[in-house]
Amino acid sequence: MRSFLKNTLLFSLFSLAAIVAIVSVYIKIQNIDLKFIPPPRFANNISFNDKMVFANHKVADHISIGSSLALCNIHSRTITSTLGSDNYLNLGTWGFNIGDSFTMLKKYAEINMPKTVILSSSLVDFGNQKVFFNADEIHTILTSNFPGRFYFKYPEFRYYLSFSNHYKKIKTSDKEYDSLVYDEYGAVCYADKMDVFDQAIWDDTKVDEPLDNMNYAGLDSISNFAKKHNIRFVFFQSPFREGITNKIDQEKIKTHTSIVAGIVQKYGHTFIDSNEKSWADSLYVDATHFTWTGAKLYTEFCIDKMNTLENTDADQLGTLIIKNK
Amino acid sequence: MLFNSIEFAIFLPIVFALYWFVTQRNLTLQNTLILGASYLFYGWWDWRFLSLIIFSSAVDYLVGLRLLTQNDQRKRKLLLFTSILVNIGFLGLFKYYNFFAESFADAFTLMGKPIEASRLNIVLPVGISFYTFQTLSYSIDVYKRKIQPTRDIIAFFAFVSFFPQLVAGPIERASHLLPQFYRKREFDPTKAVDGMRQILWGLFKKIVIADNCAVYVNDIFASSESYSGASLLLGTIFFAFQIYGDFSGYSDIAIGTARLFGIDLMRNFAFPYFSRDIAEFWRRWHISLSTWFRDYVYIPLGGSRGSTWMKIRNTFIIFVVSGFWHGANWTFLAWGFLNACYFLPLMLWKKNRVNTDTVAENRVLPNFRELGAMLFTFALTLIAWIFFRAATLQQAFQIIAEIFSPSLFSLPDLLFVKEVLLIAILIVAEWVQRNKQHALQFDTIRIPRMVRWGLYQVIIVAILFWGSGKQEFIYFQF
Repeated sequence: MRSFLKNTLLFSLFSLAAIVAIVSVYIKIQNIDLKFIPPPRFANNISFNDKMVFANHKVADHISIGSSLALCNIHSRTITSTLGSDNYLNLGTWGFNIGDSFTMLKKYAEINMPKTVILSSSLVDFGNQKVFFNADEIHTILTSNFPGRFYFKYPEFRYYLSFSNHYKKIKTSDKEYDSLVYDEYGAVCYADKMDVFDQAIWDDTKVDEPLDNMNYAGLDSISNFAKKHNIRFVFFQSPFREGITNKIDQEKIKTHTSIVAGIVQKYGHTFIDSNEKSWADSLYVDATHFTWTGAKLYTEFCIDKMNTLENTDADQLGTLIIKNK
Repeated sequence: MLFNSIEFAIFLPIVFALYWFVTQRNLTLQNTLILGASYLFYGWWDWRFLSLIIFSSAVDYLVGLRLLTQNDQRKRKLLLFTSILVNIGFLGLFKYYNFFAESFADAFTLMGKPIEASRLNIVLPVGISFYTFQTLSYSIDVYKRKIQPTRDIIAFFAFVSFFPQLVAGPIERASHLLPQFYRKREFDPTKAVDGMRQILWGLFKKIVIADNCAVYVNDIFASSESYSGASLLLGTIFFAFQIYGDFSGYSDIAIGTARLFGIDLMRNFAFPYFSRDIAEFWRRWHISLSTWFRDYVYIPLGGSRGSTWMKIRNTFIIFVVSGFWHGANWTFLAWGFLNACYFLPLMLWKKNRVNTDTVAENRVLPNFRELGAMLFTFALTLIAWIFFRAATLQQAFQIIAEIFSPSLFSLPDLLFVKEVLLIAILIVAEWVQRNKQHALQFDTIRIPRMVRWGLYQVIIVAILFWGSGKQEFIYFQF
């Protein structure tokens, strides 16, 4: 036994030394900046992983949920000044469909039941894209005192090293398409002066994917959940850029809009359709994502509409009460 | 708890240390530690399902004791029936209920009388197919008076739940494993070192081979209609190595881990892709399950004795049941049926025991005849694997039709160089060591320590750097 343990220990030290040596050489050759090791790989989606680490121990009463249309298009300062509170968090994540957003909301609500939920979304979030993540783990990650321990749970050496240079790029530049440079509330703000990343990205309408009914069911669940828990829920329908609208099937958008509005309003929540107005191409980085200025204008537009609609609703309710009296 | 997880990497040394340094002087204490560790290992996944293992173990323990004192044949049969009912009942409820309910509903719909099938919204407890078969074999062997029932409840419960093989086998027999819990185990450094090597090789097969192939396979089978015949064939070949690397890798880790505790588990894989016919393949693939079905289903049915019709019937029963054991889906039944079709001609012409030795014994390379036979057998298994992996029978037929179309002669749609290279390394290593239990068994070869350690280090680095994410073992779902 003694010789077995001695040999095992010796080999472990030898092995550890060899690994450290190999990793050091790799870091040197690849010029890796250790400050930019990617977050633990909870899911095969860097945006989700990064948002989980960002949102760790952040408790907010007002949150935004959704895909990159929430992440990039909601202007945080406009929201906080409207709410009159800094207690706000953007949980938007690239690649989320509506079902994913519902899961995120439910799991976040287990930690802190929000008072306001804003969902910024459009047709593109109702397709069959999906982020595969372990829903049961969200609570643990968000409340963990040491999120670094998840590196041991997801020990993907090669990924952490090989992806770090790209991760550095997207964490330090607001001119990258997959930029993850957050403001203090977790939103990504693209630089205003953007070159087109790629003509194919610029031209892509993103609406060719077939729509998945599960996402409408997901929206119904979000609306129902919000009503049940007395949450103020607002749906911002994110618009397409002007130059691309003629390439999109308008009937498809109309049908989609009426279904979504129907679901949201059925539970007494507010639905804002920003497609009513046209949005200049210069405000965009692709068909659906705004630059910093675009996001500001879009959020202001939605907030104005929301205030008007909610005041009208309140007035109508008031009139109704008086009439009944 | 997964073998390829950080939790297991912490769990194993702790249990090892407690086993050899704290409990070694007291056999009951040592078995109790094994039992506790096994329940912790299983409960890490879902502690609620521990009750199933405990209940199943308790029933078979009591049935065994009653069979010891019972001489009335009718009552003995009743006791055996109780054990079968409980074990197969659990399996039927958790694994097959929804399948049968939906199949009946479909059948009625076809007859023009549609009915609603009520589904059970339950998850399949991990390892249920493995431990129910293991504990069932105990009751059957006691009933047949092949073994003496045990009074040692701790030893028996530890036998049923022994953590290295609890969730994905090898499915042990009481006659082999249970007596090992009665004896005092002595630490054998040679065995332990070989166990460590086998664990390392198992991890390599799982993390480097299987998980890398899985990435390609998952893509291909998720949208098979959009791939060419060449890509689908490559995807099927990768699946053949994925399932082999995954399952035999698990078995290697299980056997190696058990050896660290001084316990021998039966061999589960014997380099099956070097088989020269299907009969040999089935003697080398998932040996513990094949022999279980042979001993408890095939032979009681009459085996290969009796009329030709009986032989055909028994062959189909054993293969189709084996397919059904893997899962409640028509694709698994088709996989079993196809293998029966492959096997039957060999049995009817009494050629099923022609290749019982090691291929190319005492030679470095096989001759053309052996190579041809191996490739042909591999091709047959590939067709069967398509049914095993496909989501539906329609998808399996679509893939086969596309493979046998002109698009077979196009370039595959995805990059595959890394996977092919890894598979080549696996084949060469296992071919060189095909006379051994596993590819890193160096008991008869003198290799300088630094060379051996260098080789282990290369494998560890490959696991760390070439591993493709953390994927569950395929056989957990069975």
